[in-house]
Amino acid sequence: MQSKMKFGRRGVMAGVMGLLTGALAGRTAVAESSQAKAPGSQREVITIDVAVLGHTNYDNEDGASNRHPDYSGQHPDEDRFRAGFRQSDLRGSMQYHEGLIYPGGTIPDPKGKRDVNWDFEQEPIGSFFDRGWVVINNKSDAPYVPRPDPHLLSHTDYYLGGIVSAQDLTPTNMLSVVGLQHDSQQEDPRFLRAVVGGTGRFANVRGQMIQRPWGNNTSVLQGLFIPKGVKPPSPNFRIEFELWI
Amino acid sequence: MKDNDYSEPAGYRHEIVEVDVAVLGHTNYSNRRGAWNMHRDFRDDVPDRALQGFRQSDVRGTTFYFEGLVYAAGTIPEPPEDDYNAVVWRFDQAPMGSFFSRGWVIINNRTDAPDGPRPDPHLISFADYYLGATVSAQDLTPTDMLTTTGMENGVPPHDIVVRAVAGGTGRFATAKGSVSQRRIGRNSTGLRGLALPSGVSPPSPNFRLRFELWHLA
Repeated sequence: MQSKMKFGRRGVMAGVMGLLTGALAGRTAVAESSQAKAPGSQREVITIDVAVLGHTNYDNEDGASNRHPDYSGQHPDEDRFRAGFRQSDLRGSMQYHEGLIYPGGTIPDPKGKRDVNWDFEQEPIGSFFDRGWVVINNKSDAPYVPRPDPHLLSHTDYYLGGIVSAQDLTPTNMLSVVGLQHDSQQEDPRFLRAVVGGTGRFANVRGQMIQRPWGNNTSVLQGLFIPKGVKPPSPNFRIEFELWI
Repeated sequence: MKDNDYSEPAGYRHEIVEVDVAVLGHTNYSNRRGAWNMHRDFRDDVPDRALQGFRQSDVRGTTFYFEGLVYAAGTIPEPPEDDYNAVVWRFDQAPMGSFFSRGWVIINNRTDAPDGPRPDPHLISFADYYLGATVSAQDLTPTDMLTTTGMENGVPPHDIVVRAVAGGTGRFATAKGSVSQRRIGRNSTGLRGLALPSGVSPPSPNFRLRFELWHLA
């Protein structure tokens, strides 16, 4: 598994160097380049940290018709709610959430999966938006399932050139990504996603990215999958883009 | 299906990849909440009248999701020419990968405006094909994925849809191109979903996919 998740084709070392350089640089998103291999293509590794804003998470479970009643009915007893969740197929649900972007190395190294290591002490450099489908399947009537992990299949747009606002509707230098996602409960929770396009200096981009959990932040995660009254912190991630621009 | 006859541009490498896929019909979930222009007999699943109601419904606004399994091209047999709906696949071989399709239903069997109705194609979607392994709790995002976008259709037989390949991972990290999709019979999983009255569960479709890719050289 681990070997599969490393960048292929053009060198693991360059990616590692990009990450290290990003961590050392602290406040600046760092690019690492090599000689162009083809017209319009130059390899570049960019490392960022992101913090999910948990209160922006919204679910629509109307399409998930195969849920246990204790879960779909939001049973007030936490144990029964959780037991119902473990007997539910959530596929058909949609989700949306937003978050903030920082230069790679801004969010401190987490001390464990549940560590809350970010309280938004620094201004972000950009915004991101994630939307898609929940793929958690804890029950099944057929072969090859259940499959409780991974959790989400989504499209994510990372605006690296500024915060999205009424004054700057579409900041330049955006990267658009597609693929499965997951949180921090796995032994090796990194996941690999495709970069499908971008804007500004990324307008001609191709590439992929690796995302790994990077602790949690102080915004409270909300969602229909959370029992009433439970207020978990939201996850952070470290992301390495491997790009050809 | 004829490949695009573009000349190969300098700096790019051309590749054809073919696979067979089988839709797992029991993974199909729809959310009709957004489709408010449906005939009431279809919306309320009225026994014996739901199908006729469907033929008078605009189901745009509906979202859907389904999964499937990926096999090497040629694994799923071609159906007989006179029975294109034959069940030709019963999952008697392990798959090499998984795929995930999600998006919107665009079937429009009625309209109040000058541009319709348009019963086909059925779906506009994003579909990701994980060719390196099946997705599992032990392998959350297998390498060598291709992500595609465009129209999809299930019937009638021999229809071919062409979709865009927007990117990928692993050995497809610099790939773009297109994919053609052709139906090859059906499989033994029961399809559920929009146009099907309660209790009806026909066999799910299989497809052969032909990716035409351009990698950075």
